Amino acid sequence: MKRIARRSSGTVTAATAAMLMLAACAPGDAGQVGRDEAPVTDGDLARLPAPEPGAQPSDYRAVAPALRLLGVQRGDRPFATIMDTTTWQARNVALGEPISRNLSLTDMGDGWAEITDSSGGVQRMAVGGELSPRQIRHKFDDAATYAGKGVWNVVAENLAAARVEYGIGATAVERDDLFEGAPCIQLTAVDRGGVFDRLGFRRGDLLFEIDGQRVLPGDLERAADRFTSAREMPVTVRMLRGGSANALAYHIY
Amino acid sequence: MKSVRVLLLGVAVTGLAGLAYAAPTKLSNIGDSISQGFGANSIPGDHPDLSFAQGTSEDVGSLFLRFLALDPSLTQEPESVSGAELVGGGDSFAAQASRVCAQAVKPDHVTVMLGGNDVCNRDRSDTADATANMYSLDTWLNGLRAGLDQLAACLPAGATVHVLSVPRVDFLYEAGHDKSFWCFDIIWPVAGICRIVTAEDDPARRAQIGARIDEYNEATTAELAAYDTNANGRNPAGLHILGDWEGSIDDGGENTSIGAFVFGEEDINGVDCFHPNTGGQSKLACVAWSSTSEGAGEPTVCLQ
Repeated sequence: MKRIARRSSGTVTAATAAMLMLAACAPGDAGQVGRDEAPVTDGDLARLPAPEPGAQPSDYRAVAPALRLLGVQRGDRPFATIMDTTTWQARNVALGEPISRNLSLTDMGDGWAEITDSSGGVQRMAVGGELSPRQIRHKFDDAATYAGKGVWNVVAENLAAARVEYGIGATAVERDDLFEGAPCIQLTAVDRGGVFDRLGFRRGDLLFEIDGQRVLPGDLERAADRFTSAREMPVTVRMLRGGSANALAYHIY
Repeated sequence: MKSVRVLLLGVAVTGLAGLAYAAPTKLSNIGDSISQGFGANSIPGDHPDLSFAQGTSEDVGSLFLRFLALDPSLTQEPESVSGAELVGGGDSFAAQASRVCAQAVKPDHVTVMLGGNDVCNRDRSDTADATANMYSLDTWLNGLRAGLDQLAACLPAGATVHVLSVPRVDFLYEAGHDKSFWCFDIIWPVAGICRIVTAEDDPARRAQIGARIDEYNEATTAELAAYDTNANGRNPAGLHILGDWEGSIDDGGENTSIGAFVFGEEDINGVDCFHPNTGGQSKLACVAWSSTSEGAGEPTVCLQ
């Protein structure tokens, strides 16, 4: 494609575009935490619908966050909005989607939603009400957690292990034509469970810079290396998603 | 939801019910990319100096500068984050409220402006109901309460929480089409900007979405009143909790609040065709100021 010259306000200049400090929308799949529960047992593992291959009970932990049902939407893509009031982070969980390794949103109606655990127990939440169900989480699930205001905390060892199992899980194309002087790539696929998914990226994201350097589609593996090695300075990312923008900082521990 | 207005700067005013409201000494804000001044100068990226809320540029005349004129020792500690929703995600109203409450020195005036992303982040509905995938009023109000409850519990007595209405993002469609092919042909589809309205060619369906935003604003206003009077028992410290909504466009309220502002091509920037430009931010500041206890001005004049 040719560079885009905009009719009303002129071409985006190199200087302008070089200042693209673009941000991600608030990640909706931020890790939920809560008080620790009794350790995960072999029996717990046996009941998980999708255990990690080869994982031991010690690879999991059980927590009990305070979950509040903010509401339900019953459109053509039904979902429930559930807030963890220990972190005040909320996520939209589609009907049938897992909430954690052992919990799924299995039914919903006007003013309520039902959560089923892997042992078959069902708990009903009223809109506005709270529950503290025992959640089982694998270490991969908390490999990268959103701390708010564009800051992520990453456990390098756990993310590296997830990478071995799932790969980086992302592909991209160049978008040099979009903003003159500010080449970027657009993620064309982000596979669930891969490194980029765990870091909060989504299909369609425009990535301009990682650690101040231009990114090319062939750089994704090398980019993933930055997130899987502990370091003193955070990895910075400049990106655009859906018209919302900011700079992200990943602290790698 | 307007309170008493005064025209004289530097004068503490007497508000409703005989309560005295002094000019604030510390501001904070809760918001999204609009509060971050994103792209206001057509340079993509956050430009908080050009924000209607926290800006330091005289081109905008932000709330911060207007309050600063009342008290030169005024400070601010903003918490707004680009991309934030009122309801969802990791920077929701509740999450940002918790950060305000964690500030070492608590603010005595908090401006809240959220909601655009709650609309724009939702999937376009394939049904006859264009709002089918938008947050229900229950969800909206529970998200609002999760933030207000925290602020009501942590802010000092006499503090103000000023919740601004949600802009009618459905007007983006016309504004962008009037502005440039860049908007509707390039940047909106490629960057996926507010596709629930920018990809919606049917004006009747866009109107449905606009009507839902009106409902959010109506419900918010009723909720703010319940907090302000403590009729719901959730504001025992007696914080002053107000908004700017004066009614919908359909009810004759055009350009009387941010949520009833009919913005056009001249108000949005030329890069993402989504965020307010400097002039748009200036209008928001003027309207927001007009609905504070200390403020002055008429929204309809601000929004000309």
